[in-house]
Amino acid sequence: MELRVVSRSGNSLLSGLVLRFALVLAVVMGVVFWQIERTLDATGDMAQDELLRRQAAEIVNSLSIDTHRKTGEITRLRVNLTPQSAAAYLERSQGYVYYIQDETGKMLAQSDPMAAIWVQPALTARPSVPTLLDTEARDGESSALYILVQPVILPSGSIYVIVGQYRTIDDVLLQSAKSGLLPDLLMVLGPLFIGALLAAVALMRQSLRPVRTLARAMSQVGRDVRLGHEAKVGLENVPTEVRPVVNAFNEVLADFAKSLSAQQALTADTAHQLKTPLAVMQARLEQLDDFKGRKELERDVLRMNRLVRQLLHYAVLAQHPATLAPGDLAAEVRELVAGMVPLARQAGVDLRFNAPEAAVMVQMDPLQVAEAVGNLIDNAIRHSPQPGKGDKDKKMTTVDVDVSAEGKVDVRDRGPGVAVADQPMVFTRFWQGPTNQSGESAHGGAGLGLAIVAEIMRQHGGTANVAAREGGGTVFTLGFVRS
Amino acid sequence: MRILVIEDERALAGFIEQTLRQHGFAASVAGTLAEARTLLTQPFDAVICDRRLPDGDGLDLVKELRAAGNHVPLLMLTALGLPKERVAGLEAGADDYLPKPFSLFELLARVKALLRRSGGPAGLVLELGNLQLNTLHDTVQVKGKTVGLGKREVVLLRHLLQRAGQVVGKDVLEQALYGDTDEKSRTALEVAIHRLRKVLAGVDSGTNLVTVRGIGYLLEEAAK
Repeated sequence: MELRVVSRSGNSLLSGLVLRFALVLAVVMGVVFWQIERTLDATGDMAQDELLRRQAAEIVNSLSIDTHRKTGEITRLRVNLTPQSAAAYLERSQGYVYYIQDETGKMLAQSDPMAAIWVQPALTARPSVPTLLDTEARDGESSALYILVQPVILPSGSIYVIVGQYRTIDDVLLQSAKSGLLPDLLMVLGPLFIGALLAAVALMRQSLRPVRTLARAMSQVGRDVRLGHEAKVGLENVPTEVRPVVNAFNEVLADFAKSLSAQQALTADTAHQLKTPLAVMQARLEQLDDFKGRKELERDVLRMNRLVRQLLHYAVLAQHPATLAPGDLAAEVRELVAGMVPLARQAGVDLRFNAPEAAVMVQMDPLQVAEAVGNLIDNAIRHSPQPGKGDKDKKMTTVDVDVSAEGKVDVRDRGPGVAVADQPMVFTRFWQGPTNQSGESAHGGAGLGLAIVAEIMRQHGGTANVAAREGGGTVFTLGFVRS
Repeated sequence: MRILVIEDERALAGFIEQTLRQHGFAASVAGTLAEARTLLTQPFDAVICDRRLPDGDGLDLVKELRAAGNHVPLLMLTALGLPKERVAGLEAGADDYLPKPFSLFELLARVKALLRRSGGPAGLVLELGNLQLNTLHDTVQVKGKTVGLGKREVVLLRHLLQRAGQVVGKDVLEQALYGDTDEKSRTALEVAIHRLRKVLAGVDSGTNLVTVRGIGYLLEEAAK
């Protein structure tokens, strides 16, 4: 389970460490296996060597040699092996062979009529000490012959006892090692390998815990700084290796805080700079006698007002995340709607509110909620068809604001509606719907209102949706997280 | 009635002053906090105050005034229109907050509403359309003729007139009618509203009593 998680996150420090550790472990185990195999091999060689020496000694000791009285020449040489040993030489499956010759190469005794052929590479050897010959495997033979040439010095000259054997001991040993010992080892080392790996994971996780704690602390400090609080990451409990990172982080944070406050000051300043002349413009316009194009000019000024306000809000929203706390959504929206009724009535819209009797508790930032729902209502009012002159209340178009017990706010209008194809676009920045010939939105929107709504809802962990309203118009729905 | 306008942008201050004068108010203009402090040694019926002034934040002046026990109705006027800043203004003791840019008509309406709510000299007679309510004697007149209204209806009318053009919540009106007793009854409020509406429609009051569904009621001047 743990391992899978580790291997999935490729960038994790932990998984990197574990991977490297596993690699090292695998190499070490490989070397151990190789060494064991080599040792087995060497042991086999030594055993073979020893065996051949004993055989040679046995043969030498069993020799009875008759020599010519005058010349000292060997007249008769017999090998008096115990019946058990003799049987072993006769049994070809055991692969033993002996051949005895004198210095001239004259055969004195042999275990088998074919012995000369088997020990052929040793026939020319005239060593003064017992010598081992390792021969290549010959055609048709599965393994090479192992040969010992043992010189025996007699008064009349040396004779040579050649003992050979196929490397059966080697084979048996290696085979038994490979089929028995190594799997046994694997049975032990396999779990050991896994155990070591798990222990390594646990240890590394533990060693990395300060890093995790630090990451959490850093993210909290980052949030605080973005909120405009002064904060930095403390160095207590921080591993020495990571301290430079923390120091660098704190430095960057301090710079960031400095530039953030400068930016905020600039934003506020820009707002002031833009809004006051706009207010003057609006006031000047209201003081003027009626003139041609007044309506259009008023609309332009209003549009500019809204744009400046929304730009400012959008910028600030990115810097100041919502601070969420449980609150009564119904009460908040009721108060907001009450405040917007006069504006709605001016536009000839009957703004209505509906909510359950009981409080609707959700996680929210009341000011942000008012901004989001207010934007939707403002939109709904601006998109509602204007009643004709002389129409009384009964003919006003309605905008309904409903809060449901599930923590949803619906804002329904009877406007032109949003085309299905455009619905996914409405929450993006500067989307304005159909524009007129001069490229202006038909309803004087700045195109930021719904982007602000979407951002606020994102910060609330909630949802923002748009749908067509039955019978014409649009329904915007905001879904909050209940608390 | 005297209104002090604290605004450093000359053109804007000029327009505000002009509008107020046109509607029967006496207006004085201060371009700095220092000037405002000097002028505020005299009594004013309302103050319109900008936030960013050459010598400081208008908010500080509001805090000073409130700390000194001066409860003059005060409208903050500012470019800083973000919700959190609006709240800061209201918490400092401002009675209302109007973000720039604004309509002079809205400014005027808000100043009038502030004066009505303050219950000062201007609040003795609440006026809307042809309707006049004397808060001292709880008498209602239309075009000079007294209109007979029950006690409850007068209480309702007073609350609606104090917030003319704005929605008054059902809970506020119920509280006004029945206090904190648990015997509040929606029907009783609806009956009282129905009666009041009938009377207002019978005389030429020049007002509309509008039901705002789900929230409360609103008294507005009828379109002429």
